[in-house]
Amino acid sequence: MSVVPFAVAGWLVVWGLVGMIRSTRLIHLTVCLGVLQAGTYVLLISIGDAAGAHVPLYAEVSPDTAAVDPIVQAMTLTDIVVGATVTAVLLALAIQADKHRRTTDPDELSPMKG
Amino acid sequence: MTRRWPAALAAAAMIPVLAWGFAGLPDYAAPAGDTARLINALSVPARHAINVVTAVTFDFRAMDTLSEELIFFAAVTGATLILRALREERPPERKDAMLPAKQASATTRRVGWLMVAGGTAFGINIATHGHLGPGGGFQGGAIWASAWLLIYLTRDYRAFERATPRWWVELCEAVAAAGFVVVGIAATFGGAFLANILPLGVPGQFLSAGTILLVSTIAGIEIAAGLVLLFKEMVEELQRPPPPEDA
Repeated sequence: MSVVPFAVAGWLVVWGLVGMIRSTRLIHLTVCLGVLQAGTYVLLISIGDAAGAHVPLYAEVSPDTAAVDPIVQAMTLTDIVVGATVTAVLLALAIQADKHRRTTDPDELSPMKG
Repeated sequence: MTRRWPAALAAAAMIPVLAWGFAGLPDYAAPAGDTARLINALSVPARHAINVVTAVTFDFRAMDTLSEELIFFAAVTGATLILRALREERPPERKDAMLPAKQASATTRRVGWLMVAGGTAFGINIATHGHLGPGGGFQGGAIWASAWLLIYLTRDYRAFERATPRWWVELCEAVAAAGFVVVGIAATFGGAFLANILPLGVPGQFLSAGTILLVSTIAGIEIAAGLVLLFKEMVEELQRPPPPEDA
């Protein structure tokens, strides 16, 4: 139990990265980036967890109650929304590449070609 | 494929570094660090905000949230510009050259109205009650925008276009993005940039936690409008017939 969250995060990061490297289609590359980002979210939330701690909501408990780390949760929630928007930009670029270059293979989309 | 092998070798070399980094993390579920304990203890006495995560997002670390919101704004603008430039390059077509709208069944339309209304109410609730319970501007805005997309999914493109006039969505997004900065600048007259200058009220009541409520609502409007604009651009892409295949 003690290493499972970190192992899951590492697994997602590694396979997202391997998928991005081996990808031959831009849409597939965007989805692999999403997997990589999911790994970082799992890592962030796992770092903040504390044994036997309350959620950081002080509606019914006194403010002295120990709670999990709220800072990494705040980072993660804004990251998720921004990550979704960056995915939209990448998909728009994939559409543009398909229209102008007639290909979505990242290897064919080298900037040196015409 | 020949360029992939150096990249794959670099990834393989990265795995030991990743393992070394993971090994340096504190034990899982170790007690929270000093900053976390301090912020948890201070959120209700100092800011009268029950939800510490929202207090962190919109008050203690509001500068980071401002940067992330501007990244969001820039990404929405970038995707919109790319897709609109692509659309303008197409030869002009008559309006009735668009794909015919499929008429949704009456049951789908009625259930759709219920879901859109319920989802919008839920999204606005989450966005404005961030300081009282789980939620906040970002989450509520995403829920609200998803509920608005249901108009396209349960009805058709024309209903979606009528419900989301482009000038109105762009205006809301721009005003809300600027509103965050304006609230921050207004706070400099009361202390520091993005300081909490409004009355803090009683913790647990709706009108409490000062600027957290205001900034959370403004962020919710911006996220919702930005996502609806993205949806409009993507949905617009689906409405033209596919270009003819070149020989």
